[in-house]
Amino acid sequence: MTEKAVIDAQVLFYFHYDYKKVPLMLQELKKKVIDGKITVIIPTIAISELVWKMRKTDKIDAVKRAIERWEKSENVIIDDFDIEIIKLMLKNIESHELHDEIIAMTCKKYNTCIIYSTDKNYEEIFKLKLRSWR
Amino acid sequence: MTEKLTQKVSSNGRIVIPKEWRDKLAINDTNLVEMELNEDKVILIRKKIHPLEIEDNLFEGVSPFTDEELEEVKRSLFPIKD
Repeated sequence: MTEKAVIDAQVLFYFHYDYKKVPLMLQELKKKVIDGKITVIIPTIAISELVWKMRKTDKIDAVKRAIERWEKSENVIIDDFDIEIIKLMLKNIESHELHDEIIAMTCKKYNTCIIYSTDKNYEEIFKLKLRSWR
Repeated sequence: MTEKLTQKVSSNGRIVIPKEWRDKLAINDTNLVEMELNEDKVILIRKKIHPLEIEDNLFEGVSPFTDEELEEVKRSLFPIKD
């Protein structure tokens, strides 16, 4: 079965950045996606973070092109924040930072515990397997 | 430059892409090819490119997210009153 992983906004950025400056772990991830060895799930909330960053640098057209490529890509799923994620959130007794909780519940929605990010909260609070390049 | 060759087609329609051409296009057994039939005469075979393979550095000139930006964008999504 193909491995599945959720990725955060930083990974989205590195997917379209100067290859030589991309951390080795993310170079390998990209190659695995291209070769069909992993499916990555992009939460729409992560895309919104990228939009926020690129708007500051007047690079919105680049984001539009990136989104078009993700939509056409095999082994890439863009996940809409939806009621299924809310229902998974209802099972959590404690309140968490909403951003992190939505992304963590996206992992649950796709039955994976792997997340590519540098945020240790995913590991410490949500008990996910963090693949951090730092 | 156009290179041409003639090949025998097997009984079930298989043909072989010559190794030299596969090497030139970096085609291996993990890749897919797209086939196109033009005007009921010409078959065009093209290496299928995954959109993530396009190395045009879309975000050139922008620095990766800093820790401060990651915090700021989270607060922007779900503002917290201090």
